[in-house]
Amino acid sequence: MNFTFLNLVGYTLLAVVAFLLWRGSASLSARLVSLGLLGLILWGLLSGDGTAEDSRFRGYQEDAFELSSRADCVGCSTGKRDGVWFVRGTVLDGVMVLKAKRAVAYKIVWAGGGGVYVDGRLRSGNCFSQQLGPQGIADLRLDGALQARLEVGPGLGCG
Amino acid sequence: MSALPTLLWLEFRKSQSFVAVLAGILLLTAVGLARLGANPLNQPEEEAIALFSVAATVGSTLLVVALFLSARQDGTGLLPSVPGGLVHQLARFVYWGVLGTLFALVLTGLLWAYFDRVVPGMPGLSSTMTLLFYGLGLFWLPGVAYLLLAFSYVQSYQLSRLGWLAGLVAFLGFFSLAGALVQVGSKVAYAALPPLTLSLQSLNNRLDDIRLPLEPLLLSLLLAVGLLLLAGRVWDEVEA
Repeated sequence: MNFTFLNLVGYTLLAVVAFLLWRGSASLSARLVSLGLLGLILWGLLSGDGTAEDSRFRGYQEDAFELSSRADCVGCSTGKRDGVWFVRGTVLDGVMVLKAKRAVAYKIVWAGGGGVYVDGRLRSGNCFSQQLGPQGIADLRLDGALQARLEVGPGLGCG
Repeated sequence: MSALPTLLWLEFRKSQSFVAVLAGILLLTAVGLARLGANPLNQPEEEAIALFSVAATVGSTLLVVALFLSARQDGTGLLPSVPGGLVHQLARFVYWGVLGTLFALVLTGLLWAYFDRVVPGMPGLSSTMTLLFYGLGLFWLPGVAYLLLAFSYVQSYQLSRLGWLAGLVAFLGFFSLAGALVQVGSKVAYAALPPLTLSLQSLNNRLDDIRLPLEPLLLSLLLAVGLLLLAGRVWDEVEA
């Protein structure tokens, strides 16, 4: 939960609307529908970070590797945890090229969808990992992969 | 349940002029598709797609507007006994669901007939219709159920004059609900059931098959039923 001034105004408005709509109808179901819809709106406020949504993932660069991308990423998030960098999306669709500067490993996990191609070959299963040497290049094409996650870091593998 | 045919008839009486307009749109589209010619700027196939999307946009907008207008008037004073709220909502749901389905069915059939004539190896009518019914079940049926619920919900705020606020909440909540449905649907997609597979091999053997997951469809239909039951309860409580 964020507590900036605008967010506080938003929460207060929602609370006032909830109060008014609870008082305003004699029908219990309608009151519950009010609460449900306001809850959904609150959930929408909380799950977005307030910035305009852009569904394109434009790539990432650090000392060990460079990822260039023209992929669409719906419900996207990126981050770094325990030395492993990741990008994940509800839908990941498009082309990415991973260039290693030092030796790194990468791993793609996905739940389903059109398919995942690495260096032009369709990969089966729900996980694919590969070790890249220095200056190694991996050519990734994600074809509408659902709940997909690409991780780059040392010592990654499926299983 | 004996009131259901009468209620369906009343819905039809209320929306007769819209049905005529929709039929007119279909007729115009048919004439347009029959008279498509080559022109230096466009391929006739592209013009057919453009015609189809204009007809589909105008038609679906009109359907929603007609649903708005007919939900605002009530002709049930003609009935000898007052049927329950669920029967009312069910009649509206069936009527608008079927009307939208018929419109989409004829429109898609027209487009398919055109492409079957000009594109060699066009996939058969059955796979086109599978795609159409999948889309209708995914979007149109829960959409109609949500609209019906929203109407009764806003009506229940008539006495306190907060209908505008309830309408605003219903409008904003629609997008949140759709977002939540997409999130959950993509999580469960392909999880348990085998997907519906439509082959495009006859069109071009480099195209992948279309794999439609069944779980989001089931989720949408369940949501439609849930919203309809809720709409029936709200109707009962408003009338009481």
